[in-house]
Amino acid sequence: MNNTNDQLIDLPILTDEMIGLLETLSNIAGVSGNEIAVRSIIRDSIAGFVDELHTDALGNLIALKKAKVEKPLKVLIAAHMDEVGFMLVEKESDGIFRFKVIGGIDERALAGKPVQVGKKQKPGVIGACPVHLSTREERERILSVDTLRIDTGPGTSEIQPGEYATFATKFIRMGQSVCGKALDNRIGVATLIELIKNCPENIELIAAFTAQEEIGLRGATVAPFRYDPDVAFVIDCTPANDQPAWDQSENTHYKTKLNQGPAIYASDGRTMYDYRLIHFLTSLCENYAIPYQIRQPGPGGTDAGAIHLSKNGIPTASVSVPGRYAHTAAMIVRIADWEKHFQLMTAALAHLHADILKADR
Amino acid sequence: MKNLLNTLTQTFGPSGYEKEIRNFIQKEIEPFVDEIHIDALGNLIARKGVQKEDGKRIMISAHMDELGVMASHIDKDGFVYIAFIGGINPLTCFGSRVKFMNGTEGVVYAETKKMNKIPDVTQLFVDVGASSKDNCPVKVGDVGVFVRPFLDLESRVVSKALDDRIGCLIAIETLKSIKDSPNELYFVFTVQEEVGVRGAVTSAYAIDPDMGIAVDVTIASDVPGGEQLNPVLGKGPCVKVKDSMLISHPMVIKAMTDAADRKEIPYQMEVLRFAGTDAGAIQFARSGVPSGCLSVACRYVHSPSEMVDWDDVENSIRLLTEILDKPVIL
Amino acid sequence: MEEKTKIKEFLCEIISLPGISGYETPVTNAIAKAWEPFVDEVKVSKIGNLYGIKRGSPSKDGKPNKRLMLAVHMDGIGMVIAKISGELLYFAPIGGFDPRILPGQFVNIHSQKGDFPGIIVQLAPNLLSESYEGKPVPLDQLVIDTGLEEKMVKETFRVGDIISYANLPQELPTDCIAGHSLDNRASVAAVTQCLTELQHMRHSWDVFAVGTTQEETAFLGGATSPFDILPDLAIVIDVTFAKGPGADGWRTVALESGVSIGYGANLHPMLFAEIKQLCEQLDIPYTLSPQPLMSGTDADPIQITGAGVPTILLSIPLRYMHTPVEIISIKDVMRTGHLMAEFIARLSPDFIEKIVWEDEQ
Repeated sequence: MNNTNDQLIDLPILTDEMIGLLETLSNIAGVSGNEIAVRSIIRDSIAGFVDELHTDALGNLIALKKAKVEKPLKVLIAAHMDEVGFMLVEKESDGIFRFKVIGGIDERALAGKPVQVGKKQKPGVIGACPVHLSTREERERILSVDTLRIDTGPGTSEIQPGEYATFATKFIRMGQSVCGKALDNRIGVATLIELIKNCPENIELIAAFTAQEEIGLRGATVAPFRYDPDVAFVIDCTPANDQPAWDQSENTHYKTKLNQGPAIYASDGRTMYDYRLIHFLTSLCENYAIPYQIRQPGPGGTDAGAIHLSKNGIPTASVSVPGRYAHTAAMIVRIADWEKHFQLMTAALAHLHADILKADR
Repeated sequence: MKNLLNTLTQTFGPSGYEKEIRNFIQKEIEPFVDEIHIDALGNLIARKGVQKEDGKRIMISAHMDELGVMASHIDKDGFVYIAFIGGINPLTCFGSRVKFMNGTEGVVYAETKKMNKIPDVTQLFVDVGASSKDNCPVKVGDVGVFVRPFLDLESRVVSKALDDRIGCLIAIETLKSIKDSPNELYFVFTVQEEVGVRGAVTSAYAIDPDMGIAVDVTIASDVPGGEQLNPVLGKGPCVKVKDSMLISHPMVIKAMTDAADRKEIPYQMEVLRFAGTDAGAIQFARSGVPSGCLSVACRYVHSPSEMVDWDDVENSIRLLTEILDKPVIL
Repeated sequence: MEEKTKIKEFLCEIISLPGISGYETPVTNAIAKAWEPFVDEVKVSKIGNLYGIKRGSPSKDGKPNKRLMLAVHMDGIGMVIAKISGELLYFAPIGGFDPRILPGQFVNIHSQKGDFPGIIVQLAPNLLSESYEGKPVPLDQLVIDTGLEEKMVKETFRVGDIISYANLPQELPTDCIAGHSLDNRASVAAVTQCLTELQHMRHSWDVFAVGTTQEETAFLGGATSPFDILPDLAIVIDVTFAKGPGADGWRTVALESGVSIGYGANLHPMLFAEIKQLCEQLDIPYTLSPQPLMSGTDADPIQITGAGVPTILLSIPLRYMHTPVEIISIKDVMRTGHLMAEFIARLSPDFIEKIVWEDEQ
C-alpha cells in the first residue's frame, strides 16, 4: 500500500453459500463458444447489483457497476466462464460420434470417462477399443482422439453433430478440498460475483465474464473495448504440480503449490505483468498476513495476455487460485487457497487508487 | 557514438523492466524532441515536428528491451532456477553470467548429468554464491540480464543486447540529425519486443501513423555454415521484404530504396523465412499501417556476443535520415 | 449474356492475374472495375483493402443505416526470391505450401525489368544439404531456373521479387473450373454475383463488399478493415475442402453441394440459425461445416475487432486447396451469391437488435 494511512478492512470469509454457488457453476456445461448456461446463472446472480449488463457479439457477459464518486478509477476484473470440452463433429452410427477436443485436454485423459452431451446434458461415455482387441503395437500408442468416440447409446437420434459435451463429473467436497470439473475457472466466476456485490463505492467496476478463453483469449480481446478501464485484474485458476518427483529429487518446476495462498503472476507466455501492481498485491498480502506465492514464470497464460494489449495498453495483474489436475475430468482445489484469493481480491479493491499507476513503470 | 552505443548496450532493461534503459534514452533525446511521454506499458514515445502539407505521420520503432532471465525457483542449496525472457538458445548460456536487478551476479550452468544433449531451460540454474535458500539474495520473480562488456573491433562492434540497442542508437542519431522534415515523426522506443512485439501493439494503436518503420537487426549469413540468406556484414543496411510476421508494404520498400539511391547509400534486400520485428505489430494498428523494416545485418543474434559492422550502422543512420527527411509517397 | 457465363468469365479473368499476399494490386484493380457499376463508391484502404460500398435505402427515422460487411480475401499464395545463387533463384513461400507439389511448376517472376517465366526444379541429390533420396526436397532447397545466363540473372532479378503461379484457368465440363487462386477468387465472384442481383432488390442496410489483403499470411485485411467500416454484422466468404482423393470425413463436403455454413465458437450461433433457415426457405442447397475451434478464415480476426463483430461464415467447396489446380463448381458460386443477396434484401433496420442469445430470450 502506498498510502500507509489506509485502514485495514475486515476480510470476508468463504461462506457455504459461495461453495454452493461453485457447485452449481461447476456442474453445468459451458464449453468455449457455448457458454449459455453459465452466463444465464451469472446474470441471475448479479442482475440486482449492477447498473449495466450486456452480452456482446462473442458471448461475453459484461457488467458495469458505477461508482458514487466523480472521476472514479475504472477497474476491469475479468474471469473466464468457459471450460474445456468437446464438440460432436460427425455421426458415425446410431449414438456414436466422432468428436473434437476444445481447449487443451491431454488426449491420454479422455478414454473411459462419462460425459454429458448437449443442452439437456444427456448422458454419454467416451469409448475406446477394448484392450483384448488391441494389438501389441496399438497398446504402446496413446488412445488418440481420432480412435475414440462419444457414445450416447442406441436410439438417441435427437443428438446431432454440432452438440457440445463436457466431462460429467459431479462436484464433491473432499476434506479440505473441493473437487469437480471446470473449477478452472468457475472459481473465478464465483469470486467475481461476490466482488461485484461488495464493490467499494469509489470504484467503477467493469466485471467481464469472458467467453472463449480456453481457445485463445478471444472474449478478453474485445471485452475491454467499450469501457476503457484504467487498470485490470484477471482472476483464474492455475496448475499446482507440487507433488514429489519419482526419484525424490527436489521438485523445481511446480508452477504453484497448494496451501500457499493466491498465485500472483510475474510473467507467463502471454504477459509481462505490471510490477507496480505486483508490488501492490504482495504488499497487501504482507499487511493482511495473507499467504501468497509468485506463480513460477513460464509458458501458459490468462486473459491478461489479451487485455493488457487492448487499445493504448492497460496495466494488468493476474491472480489465480492454485489447483491440481486442471483440464481433466476432476480438478482439486484447497478451500483455504480459494478463501485467501477471495480475501486478497477484496482487499485489492478496497485499497486500489490511482497513485499506484503514477509511479514509473 | 561508440561510447553512446557502449552505454546503451550495458544499461539494464529486460522485457517488462525497461525503466533504466528508458530513463537513459529519455535524457539523451529530450533536447531534440517536441513532445515526449511514457505509455501504460512503458513505451517511450517522442514526437518531432508536425505534419506539413506533403508530410505523413510516421512511426519509427526501435525496441529497447533485451533478453533476460527470471528466477523461477530457489532450491534448498540456494541455486536459482530460471525461465527465459525472450528466445534464448540454452547453448549460449553455459558459463555465462547474469546480473539481477538488485545487483546480484551469478554463473549460469545446467544439471550436468543431462548435459549430453541440449538442455531444456528448466535444467538451467544460476549460482549466485549462496549456500541455502535462506541466504540467497534472489527471489522468485526477480529478473536479470546477461553480462558481457562492449567490444570495439574498429570496423565491427560486439556486445550483448545489440539487438536492439543498435536500433536505438540509429533512431537516436537520426532523431538528432533531422532538422526540417515535412513529416510528423514519432520515435518510439518500444518495450517487450522480445516476448512478442507487445509494446509496438499499443504504441501504434495510440499513434495511428500513416507509415511504420521498425529498426532492428537481422540474421547475417556470412559465417561458417550460416543460413542461406542474402544479408551480410558491411554491404549496407537491409531493406526488409518479408519475415514470418510481415510482408513489407511495396511503397515503403520503394521509399527506402529510393532514398538509398538518392544518397548513393549501399543497401541489401532481405527476405527472412522466420522471426519478426515491431513492424509486424505496427501494420495491424487500427485500419492498418503500411510498414517496413530497416535491418542491420548481425552475427550471433540472441547470443551474449552479437556483432554488427560499423559502416552498416553509419549508413543506416544516413538512410533513415534521408527517408524521414523527404516526403513519402504511399 | 447469361449471368452464370458472365461470372465464369470474370472468375477466369481474375484467376489469370497475380495477386500475391501483400502484392494484390493487379487483382484489386480488376475486382474494383467489376464492382464499380454495382456500387455507389469504391475505395482502397491504406494497406490495400478494397471497399465497394452500396448504400441502402435511406431510413425513415433519419438514423444511419446499419452496416453489413461481406469479406472476401483477394490474395493468393505465392513466393519471393530469397537469394540469388549463380543462375538459380532460391525462394521463400508467401502463404502455406506443400513443397511436394512444387517441382515442375511453371511460375512468373515479377521483376523490375518485367515478367519472366521460370520453372521450379529440384537439384541433383549431391547438390542438396543431404540426398533426400525418397523424401521430399524441402522448400528452402528448391530452386527456380529461368533459362537466363548468370550475368542476365544478376541484371534482371533482385532479392524480394515476387513470384506467382503461371497456370491459366481450365474450364471443365458441367460448370467446373480449375486453376490457381480459386481460393479465394471463387468467393470474390460470389460477392460479385450478390452485387449483381442486388441491382434489382431493395435493401435497408449499407452493404460493404470488402476485398481483404494478406489473409493467407497474417489475416491483415480481415483484422484492419472493420476499423474502417465499423460493421454491425459481417459475412465472411471463403472456400472449404471438397471431398476428393484423400480428402474425406467431417472437415469435407461434396463438390457442387451448395454453400457450406460454418458453426462453432468463431461464428454467431443465432446468425448461423438464421442463414440456415433462409436456405431451407429458399430451397438453396447447403451443408454444415463444424468449426470446433477457429475457422482459419478472416472470420477469426473480424469477430474480435473492436468490441466484437457478430460473424457468419459461408464457404464454397473446393478441391486440391493451395495447389495450382484447385477445382470449384460455378453452381456453388452462384448459389452463394444468391443466398447473400436474398439475406441482404430481408435485413430489417432492427434486425441486429432482434438477434439475442438463447439465454436472453
